[in-house]
Amino acid sequence: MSELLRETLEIAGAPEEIWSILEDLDALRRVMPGAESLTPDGAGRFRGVLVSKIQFMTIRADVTATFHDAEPPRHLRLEIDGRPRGLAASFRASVPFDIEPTDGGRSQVSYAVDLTVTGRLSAFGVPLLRDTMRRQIAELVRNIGRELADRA
Amino acid sequence: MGSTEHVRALVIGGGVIGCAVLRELVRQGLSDVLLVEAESDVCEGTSKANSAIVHTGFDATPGTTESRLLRRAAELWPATIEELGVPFLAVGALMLARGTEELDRLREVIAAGAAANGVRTELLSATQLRDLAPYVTDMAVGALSIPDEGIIDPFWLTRGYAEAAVASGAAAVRLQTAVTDLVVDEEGVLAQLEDGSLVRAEQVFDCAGISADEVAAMAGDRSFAIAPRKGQFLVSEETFGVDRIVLPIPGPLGKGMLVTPIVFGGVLLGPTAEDITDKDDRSTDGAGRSRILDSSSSLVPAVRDMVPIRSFAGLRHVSSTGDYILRPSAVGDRLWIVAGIRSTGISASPAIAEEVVRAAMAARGWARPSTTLVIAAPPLDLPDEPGEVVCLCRSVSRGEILAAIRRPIPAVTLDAVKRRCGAMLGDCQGNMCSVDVARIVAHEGGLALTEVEKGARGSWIFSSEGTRPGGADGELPTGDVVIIGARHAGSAAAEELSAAGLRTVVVERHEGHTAIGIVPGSADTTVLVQSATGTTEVRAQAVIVATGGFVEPGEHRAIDGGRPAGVVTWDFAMEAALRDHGIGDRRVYVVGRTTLGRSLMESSDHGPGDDADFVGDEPGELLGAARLEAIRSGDRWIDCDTLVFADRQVANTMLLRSLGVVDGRPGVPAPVDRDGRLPIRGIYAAGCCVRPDIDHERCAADGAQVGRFVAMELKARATG
Repeated sequence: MSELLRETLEIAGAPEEIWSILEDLDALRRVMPGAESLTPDGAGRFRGVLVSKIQFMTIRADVTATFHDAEPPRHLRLEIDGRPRGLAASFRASVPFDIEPTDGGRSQVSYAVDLTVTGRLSAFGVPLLRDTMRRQIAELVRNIGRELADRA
Repeated sequence: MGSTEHVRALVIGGGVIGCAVLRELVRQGLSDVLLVEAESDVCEGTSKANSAIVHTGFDATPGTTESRLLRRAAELWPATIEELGVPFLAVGALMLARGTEELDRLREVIAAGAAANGVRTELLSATQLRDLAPYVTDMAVGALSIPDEGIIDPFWLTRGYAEAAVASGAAAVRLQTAVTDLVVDEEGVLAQLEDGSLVRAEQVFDCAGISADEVAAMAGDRSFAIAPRKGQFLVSEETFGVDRIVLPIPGPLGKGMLVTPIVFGGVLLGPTAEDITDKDDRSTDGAGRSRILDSSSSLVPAVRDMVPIRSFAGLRHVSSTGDYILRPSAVGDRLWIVAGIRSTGISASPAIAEEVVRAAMAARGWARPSTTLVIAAPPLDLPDEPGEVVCLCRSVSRGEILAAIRRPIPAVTLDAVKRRCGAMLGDCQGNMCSVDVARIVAHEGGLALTEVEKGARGSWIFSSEGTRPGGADGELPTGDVVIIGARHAGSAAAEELSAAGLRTVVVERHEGHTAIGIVPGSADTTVLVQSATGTTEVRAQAVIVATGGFVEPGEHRAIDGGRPAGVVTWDFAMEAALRDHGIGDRRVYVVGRTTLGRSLMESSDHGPGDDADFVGDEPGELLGAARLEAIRSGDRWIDCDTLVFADRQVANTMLLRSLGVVDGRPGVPAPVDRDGRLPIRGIYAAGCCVRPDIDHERCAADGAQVGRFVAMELKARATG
């Protein structure tokens, strides 16, 4: 497993508000980029289908997402195991998030992405995977911001 | 001669410009549009062999057509990339100043020129440069950052243009169709095609690249000439940390040699700039390689130690006018010239297409739609279940290959399949899988196997068909130990483990099971195994990697000349022999009086044939554009159509890359201790993937030893 990405972003919402999305399955479905389906599969564990666009290829993957090391509302590690449909491949992403409050009811979210890919995904190359992951997380952050704005 | 076909517009040439023009015609509402391409695929000429950079035009001469269209293209790129689904990364570029004189030039000339061209740049101090790109030379005293420069995949782009147009239903692409004559009159153009058929078009676009002057001359227009400028490149799988384009200050022959990341990983070095006269000369040579390494390492010193996995050459078009030639022909505006696009064809392609199509439509009085149509490339249509893995190095499945073949621009050659799905692009360069890929291409296209070609027309692969079927697809049991590979080391390890009472699962691709990944766990290790029926997870207490080796392919070797079909390795020859497919027509030469080489020669019933012989050492040069014609051994040229390398075996450790225990270079042996243990718990390796130079007996002995050790470890683990 190797670190693909480490970044810090800002979200217009307090840590508690962001955390509340993680505890609301419907909200989680809305903010998770490309979530075609998401169903609970035990405590802090979900199964579903995620659709991800790697620029030239749209991949539909059967995934299992698990929350680890939860320290509400400041820290969480999201682990996603996936098997893309149509490709002889698999992936495992481990994404620890740290959420710190900043001024004006906003939060600073730091995350890192450790990614292990096997099979066909290995051949896509690190630059494309990094770009894809960055886009996905940027979309997640946008969606969270929109979700919180809608609630307000 | 048959009846004359009538079309609104005919595009001659399936390079990036021709395909962009085709799509633009459809975007402007035209139908009945035809593109003809002499080769077997689009993107076979200059468009395929270049630095794959989307330039901003920061250093273009202000006031030229080139600089104007590069700026317009920059506006069109975001929508173009989105609609065509093209791999593109805006990595940015650094132009290095190596000395105060260059720094002054960077500031006063280059940065000022970029500003005049409307391109944003930023001057970096040596410290800022070091922070951003620690891999550049210590000689750099500063740099100009051009953040909007990007990298792209030229094949996807060219194909994307063409596929979008064809999928719209308004356009067609005809491959393997050269134009042999053109007659321009006031009503249109009559084009004769190589099969003797005639096409009458109201408007023709000459986008024939390096041959654009010859096409124009068919119509009587000799107003310009195109000269080839050869550029050689080297490709490395290692990136050396290079994450953006690094280039020197340009010289009189162009941008100079650069180091650039490749959109799918690895780095590209080059190009040289050699003014030549032969428009078919795409050979590479040692002198070119040396120049590339000298020049590139002066930018990024670490590349001096690179192991190139491929070298190639492309021809840039140097026009006699010094700028793009985008105008009606000298014999009438029914024929438009779109030529002389020296080194910015990819970058300016959307704007060039827009400009020439709009101008031609205005001349014809054709109505344009109020808004330009969105002509997008159809998405890749992969089956839910990928099927068995065909390309081992890249884990490309049968399903992906079929999807590639069935695209709007079908893949009818091995190179075309390679560019669409990545099969045959890995470490072995297709030597372990191209027999199977060729069989799929033949089956899908309704071709005889002997009709399947590598790429260029005439680049045949098999001299005879054969009758034996492909591999089996058996059931996969469960067990305590998974062994990946069932040759000498794997079989010997399995015997030892069975003797110790342990259940083993042997995953062997020739039996229809291919290991595509190893996922370590805290207790067990999971091996993902792909077969025709799907992916299976096999959990085991231990995994032994016994994937063997493969012979270093010709692409990795520093051999002068071109890259014709017929240059293969022992792995390909044996795969073909197992199916009875003939690989040579006139004479086969085998490099290497090794065990491998002898085993090939001694395969009397399905070997390379009686007309085969050994050649002493690796040849110094290859001759042949489509199929191999001769090799140079020392000072002697030897007539032959097939060359089989059986000299140097390298470790097959592709599966270990995603575990991070070997780097990106091909053939790096598995790093094991004396008991065959890899640095990850529960994973072992044995045989040629550890020691690629050992013979079969030592390979089996190594496998047996590792098998005994694993048995002992598991028993110790079981007893606490």
